[in-house]
Amino acid sequence: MRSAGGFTLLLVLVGVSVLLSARFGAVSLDTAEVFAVLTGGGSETSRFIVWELRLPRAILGVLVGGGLALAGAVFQALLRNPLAEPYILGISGGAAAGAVLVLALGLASAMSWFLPAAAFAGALLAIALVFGVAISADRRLDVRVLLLSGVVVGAFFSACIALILALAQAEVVRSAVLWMMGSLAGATWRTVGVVAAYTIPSCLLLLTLARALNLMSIGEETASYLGTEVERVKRVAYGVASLVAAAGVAFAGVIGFVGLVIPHGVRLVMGSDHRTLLPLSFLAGGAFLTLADLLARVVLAPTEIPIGVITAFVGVPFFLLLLRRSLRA
Amino acid sequence: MLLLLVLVVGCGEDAGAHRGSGGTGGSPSADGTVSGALPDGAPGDGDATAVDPVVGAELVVRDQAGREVYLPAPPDRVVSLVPAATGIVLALGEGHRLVGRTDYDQDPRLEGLPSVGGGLHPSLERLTSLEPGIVIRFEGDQDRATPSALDRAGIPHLAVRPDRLDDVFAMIELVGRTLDVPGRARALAEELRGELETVRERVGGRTPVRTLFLLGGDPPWVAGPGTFIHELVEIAGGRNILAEGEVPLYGPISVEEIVQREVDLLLIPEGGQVPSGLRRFEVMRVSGDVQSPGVGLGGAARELSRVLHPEVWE
Repeated sequence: MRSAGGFTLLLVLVGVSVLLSARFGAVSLDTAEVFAVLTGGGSETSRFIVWELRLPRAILGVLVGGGLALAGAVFQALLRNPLAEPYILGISGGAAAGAVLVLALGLASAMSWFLPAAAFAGALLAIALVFGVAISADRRLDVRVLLLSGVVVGAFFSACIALILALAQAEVVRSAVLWMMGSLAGATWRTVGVVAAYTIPSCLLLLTLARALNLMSIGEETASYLGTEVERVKRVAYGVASLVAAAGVAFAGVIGFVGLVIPHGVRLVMGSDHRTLLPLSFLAGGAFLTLADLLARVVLAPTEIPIGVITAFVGVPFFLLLLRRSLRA
Repeated sequence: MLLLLVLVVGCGEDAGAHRGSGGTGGSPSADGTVSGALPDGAPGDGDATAVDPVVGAELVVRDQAGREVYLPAPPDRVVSLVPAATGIVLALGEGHRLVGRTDYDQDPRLEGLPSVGGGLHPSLERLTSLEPGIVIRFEGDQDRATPSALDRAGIPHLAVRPDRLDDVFAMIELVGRTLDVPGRARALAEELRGELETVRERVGGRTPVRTLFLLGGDPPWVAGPGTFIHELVEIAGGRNILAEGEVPLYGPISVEEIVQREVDLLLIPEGGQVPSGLRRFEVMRVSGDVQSPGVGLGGAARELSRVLHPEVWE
């Protein structure tokens, strides 16, 4: 019952990380005040800080971090490549190109949903392009081509971004760079709602593919002998995991590392059965990103560190340690 | 700390004068102008300074993003995210109303105030916890999170966008109206206009020095026409080698483009790096005041004219 223990532990960790995020921030509120706010009291300003600034960020962190980690685990199984991560299929490139275009055209301030909508549309365009290339004449999805065309499409969008930025004004460059570094600072309950609407059903659907992904990671042929509808699984896994990553990147920018390190970390500790790997990756990714955002907010307060810096600074040593330990064992 | 500030804020001379003038049909306030019941009729300074009549203690000002900002009363607690605007608040003698600062504010009078971080992407927690009556912010796409969070928190915010000199004058008057010291702001803007005029007259008749203001970087970012820096350079007896429309406000320009034009002198802020391709030109360094679109522009123009035409100051 190792997996049940891990599940409980990580669920508690997610809860604790959300509570810690509500408790700490650039402004020091004492525990009594935060408790009062959470139970419906507190001053107006404290209520705003906890309910409108801290909690939406914490929940968005759980959703985006969990979604990216789960999508990463799915891509690693689907592409049978340990370097696969949610952005490798050109998704972040497409999203970033959409976002930068809206910034350069000066449309970002017209309507608050323009930028995430454009980022999401860019991600969908990249997904469609990659899918269109990788689907062969006999309607089979070739995962090697998927990987290759994803990398190439991503590179093309990077070139588009470089072109737009070269022609853009200083303030566009600044906001584009900030956006591309990733941040949860834009979180509101509305963004949380939109991301949840995409992430939660998608993740539940991906969880139902766990058994099929177990067989697929052995080999597509074996999986099909054992009764898996390989083509359907590949398409659903690719499309849905991409959607999750696209929703995350649209609202939080490009947050690296979570989708790569978390699934591997979970795999090293808990083994690679996707029935436990997928849900545990979601919980671990959610807790990790929320805690990383907390650190990003408080370490140099009132200045915020880009969250990608924290995910790398904390993630890399931790991951190397796990890797080392697993090699010795 | 906060308690102390609240106490200090309560003693503002102008706030008191305003309250006194409310129902009496306008009595002279501390800045020597009539405020309160009379419509604030600045003759056509452009829409950035247009303001509705003051009704009771309420204020409605139109900011530099064209938004109407409603204030139930002249704000006693002010946070400015734009250092140039902070300088204006101080110059208006209203520094006691400031309850926060950014990391970029240098004035020693602000030292004791809590910082909200940068002026763009400030810590929203710190900003709202200061419970400001108005937040002065930069208008632009770089930071959309701050105005949207302030809207949700119900904190009024005033957008400023000092691109050209006229915008700077408008910003001074706008800040003055918002703090309910319009007369003092008009006087301050007039004083700045006078300082600039003095410099313009001093270098008048001299052959303009062909120059370019580099902000740094390689290829260098430069100040194009349409910026207050461009206007300042021209007032001080320089001629920007860039023509209208060549660079949008600030932007990068290739070293070759600069080299092929006749340049007498390059201007660069202190501490800035000159791109290697431009080392053969004469380069003069100027203080950071030249880049701050606020009340220091008079001094900055004088400094520039000393660099461009040292002979007129001998």
